[in-house]
Amino acid sequence: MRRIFITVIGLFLLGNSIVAQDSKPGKTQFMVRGYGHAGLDYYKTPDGKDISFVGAAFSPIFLFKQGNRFMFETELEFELQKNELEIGLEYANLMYVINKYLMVRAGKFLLPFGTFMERLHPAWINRLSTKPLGFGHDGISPASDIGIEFRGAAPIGGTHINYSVYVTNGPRLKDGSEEPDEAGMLNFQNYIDNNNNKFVGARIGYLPLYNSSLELGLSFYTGKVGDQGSVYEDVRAFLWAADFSFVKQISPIKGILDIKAQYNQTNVSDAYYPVVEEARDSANLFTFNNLSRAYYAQLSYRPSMAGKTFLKNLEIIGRYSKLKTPEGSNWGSDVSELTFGLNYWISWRQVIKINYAFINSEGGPDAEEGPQTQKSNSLFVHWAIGL
Amino acid sequence: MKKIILIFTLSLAVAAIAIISSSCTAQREIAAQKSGAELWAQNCIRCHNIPSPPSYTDVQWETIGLHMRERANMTSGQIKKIVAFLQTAN
Amino acid sequence: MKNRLNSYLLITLVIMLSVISAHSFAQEKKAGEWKAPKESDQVTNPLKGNDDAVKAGKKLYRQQCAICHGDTGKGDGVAGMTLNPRPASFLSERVQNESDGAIFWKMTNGNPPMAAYKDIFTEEQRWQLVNYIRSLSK
Repeated sequence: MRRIFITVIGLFLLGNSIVAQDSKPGKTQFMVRGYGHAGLDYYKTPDGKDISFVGAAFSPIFLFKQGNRFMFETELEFELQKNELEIGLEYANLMYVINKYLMVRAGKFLLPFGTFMERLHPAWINRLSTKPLGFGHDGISPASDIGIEFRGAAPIGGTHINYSVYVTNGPRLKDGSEEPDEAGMLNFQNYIDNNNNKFVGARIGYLPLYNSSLELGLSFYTGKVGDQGSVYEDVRAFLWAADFSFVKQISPIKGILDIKAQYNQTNVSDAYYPVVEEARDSANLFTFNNLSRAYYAQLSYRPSMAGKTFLKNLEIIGRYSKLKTPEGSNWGSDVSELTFGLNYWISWRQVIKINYAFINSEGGPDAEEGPQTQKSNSLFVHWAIGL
Repeated sequence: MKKIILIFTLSLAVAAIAIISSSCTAQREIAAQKSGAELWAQNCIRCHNIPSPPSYTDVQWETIGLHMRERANMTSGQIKKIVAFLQTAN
Repeated sequence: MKNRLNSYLLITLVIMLSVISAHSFAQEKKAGEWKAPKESDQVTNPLKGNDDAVKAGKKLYRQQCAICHGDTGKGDGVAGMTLNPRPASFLSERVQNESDGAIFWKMTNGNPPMAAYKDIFTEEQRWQLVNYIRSLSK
């Protein structure tokens, strides 16, 4: 089945590349873009050392444009995990331009909850080899969902504002019946709606400077998360995020300064979950303040005005990120990470990243006997490409 | 939680007022003054490196333009100028 | 075991670094091969010595050229960083030794990633820019 699927995609790409050679453009435009990476990861933890080559991942993006207003876009993700080929559908959505300032999207799309997961996570855009703590598929905030969204931008004098409002199926609350250790967590990769309540979200971004170098954003995402008809039916989640971006070439420091930051908070209303290893109907229930936070701040500098080409292509990066999950839950932890990076840009879309990370964690899903501090270091050497 | 929804509603209202007030021509001209080259450099770098124009053909730039208009929340005026510039330099 | 880990790491680092150095070397060599045709040297600048044209040229330069060629014409504008070849420095001998006609021809026709300004600027505007570029080295 999988082999057939890949063959079909291959033939499809071949067919389209032949069509693309026709010099007179038609109204239908098709493009394959995407990204990939390869490298070597080295981890040092109290348990030992681990070194392995990574990069068996390929993320093609398919763009189908029909006329000037309509587009269908989809991203697939092929990844080898535990010797199995996993195929993921990152997004697949239709898009229609309503007017100068507004467009509509429907399907599975990346959520504009902050900016990291929507705009900054691809390997050739992200300055470091890893995502900040709490961001990504297993994070405390969403990456994508199925629904409908209106988005756009408008000028206000010399400044710009951008906006997005959306409705989706929303995440599902893990009530502990399947995995007791994860009771109270939100599963964002839940595409079959578990209740009739829809999630509502929005982001508003403002670029207050005439040169668009600064962007400030505020997002929220809220709705009911419990299964319909269960005792968790009325459990609600409220998530919000604030994002910051500043990118500018500054003459006195002879280079480009890039500062990015995002703060995410996830709050799930109080609920009682079964105590681990007790039956569901047991009277032993527990609760906790279900509040998680994750944030990162990243600073990078590229000496773009230096004399030597070699120097111009270098970039130094520092990032601090922190993830705090609820105390009193079975998955409570407090992890912080400090990463430094030295990048070399081969072209505008190809980069070699050498990163070193210091991770400090307390608790976590495996911590059984109280909080324990664990320190680990890792080194990543990655080569990333935008297609 | 309610406070944040309130902040949101307020900022949306401010935005709406600002958009209406920006329809006066003097302000519209300010935004219209930027060249495609400036918009290309100022907007692309918000997330990634500024792409080199010869990387894609005229037709490809139009497809990428629509994709990026959506991803980076740009207006049609901005993206038209950027694509036109890229098409003169590829 | 530990030695083997370190040698893998070392090999990967060496490969990556050699890609980097080979690349930066190859890129340095490429710049500076673009030549305007000889006929362009015969074209005379209709605005030669016109100071108003320098001022008008400056305004156009800020809007269209500075983003790559830099505010002072050094070729260090923000968008020039990732281009190959890199934008020319107007202060360089190579540019200042060119005839007005050659500079005019180059901005008219372009050479990717340098845009062609045939349709964007009128002839007069292009000569104004030539005058401004000349004034940069003074």
